[in-house]
Amino acid sequence: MADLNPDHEQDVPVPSALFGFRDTAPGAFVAPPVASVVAAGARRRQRRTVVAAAALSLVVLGGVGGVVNAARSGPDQLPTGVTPSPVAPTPFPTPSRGPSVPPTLTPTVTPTTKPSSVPPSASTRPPLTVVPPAAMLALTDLETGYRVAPEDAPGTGDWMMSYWTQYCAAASTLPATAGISRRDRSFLKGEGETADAVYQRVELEPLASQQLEHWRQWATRCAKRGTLTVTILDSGFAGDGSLMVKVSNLDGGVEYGGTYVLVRVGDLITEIAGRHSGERDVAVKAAQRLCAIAGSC
Amino acid sequence: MPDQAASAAREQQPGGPPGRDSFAEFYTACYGRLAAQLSAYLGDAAEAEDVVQEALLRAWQRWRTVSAYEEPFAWVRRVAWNLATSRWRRIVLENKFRSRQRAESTAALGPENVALVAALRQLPDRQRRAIVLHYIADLSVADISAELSAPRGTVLSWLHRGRAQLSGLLAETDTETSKGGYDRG
Repeated sequence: MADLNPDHEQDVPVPSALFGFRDTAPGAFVAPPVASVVAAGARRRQRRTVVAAAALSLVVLGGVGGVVNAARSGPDQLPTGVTPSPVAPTPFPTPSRGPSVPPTLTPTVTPTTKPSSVPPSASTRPPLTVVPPAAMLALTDLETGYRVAPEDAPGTGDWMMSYWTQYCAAASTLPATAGISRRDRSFLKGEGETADAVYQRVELEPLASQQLEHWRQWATRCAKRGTLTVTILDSGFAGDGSLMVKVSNLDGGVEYGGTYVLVRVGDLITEIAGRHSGERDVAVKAAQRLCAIAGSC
Repeated sequence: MPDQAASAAREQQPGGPPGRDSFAEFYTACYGRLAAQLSAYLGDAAEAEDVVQEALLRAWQRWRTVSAYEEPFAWVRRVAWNLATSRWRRIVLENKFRSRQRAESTAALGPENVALVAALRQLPDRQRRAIVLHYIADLSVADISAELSAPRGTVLSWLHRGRAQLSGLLAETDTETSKGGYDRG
């Protein structure tokens, strides 16, 4: 039981509505049949086992060199159970924090279709207030066969880096309170649960530099923690700062996890996750797009 | 921590694997309480149920391990809150077994609880989280301090400011409902 009078000099009483909620609200929620949860869990476990078996066969065929290469670029050799959800842009949970920008709005910066195009001088640009669509990866940045995922396409979990903090907590709180705007985009190749996927989020975040450092420290601190293994695969390969991390968790004899790439350009930071080939190349292209938007690099 | 959930998790066959029955009892004991906590934090009963179902699904997947924990409920609560506070949570869930009771859950909360949720939504994130964890989830200040990686004094400050703001917001709500002629019976 909590100490309900934690600061004994408190001069503001506790609203009784809080205790009313605590005592009555649980009764408002009716649990779905447990069988539905068990069935969903079984489907997910079966899927992971199948993918793990496929990865194991590739390791056997490819030898040690294949394993090393797999961690960096191979689509089939990526850790199992990682299927980024292909959901389209979403607003911040806290509306006051930043605008949710519908795709139809005129972007702050004119989109460029080629990351290599010469951007206007930074001095002529107004400061960014939203993440423009042109900051996002495009189909031309990926190998052929991908499509932009529809908003309501299904996806699975365990693929976002912050998810893994439940297995190894960060030493410090993620400095994410100053977020201004964000945008998400997902791509799929293939159908169903075995489709390759690329998920990207770009945030306009004045604390982007600290965020990147936060995750670097987390990856170092959590290199081996219980069943969790975190490996920094690469660093400093794009933008003003970058990090590629592999996370692997062995649970019930099944290994699953993901590869995550963070790239920062100025106040823009992107996280790219997924089951796809050439994470590093994709990250470099993402950085080029951020550079074009930020007018730097 | 619900005693029912703890005992359900620990009831196992001697020498055998944790039973499905123990998970079912644990699931039933956890669900409402966690969903209520998360709905107070997220301000959305449906989203809270999604998060809770995902957390319980993960508990089922690791039930052999989780059921052996001293406090299985604490593990599920932490997973649920991680999902709820994750920047990615809106795109996490694949659950298709949800949503039947969504509208009913919100309606069943009752007008006073709905008003509280509306007021909580106006609090800054960290204040709201501290308030919910302390007064609704019954976590101690020390536990909240550890979970949020914040000094005890900071947590106390969040609770103090949160209480003050909440009191004001709820008083406004009362005034407005009175003006609107709501019959409080």
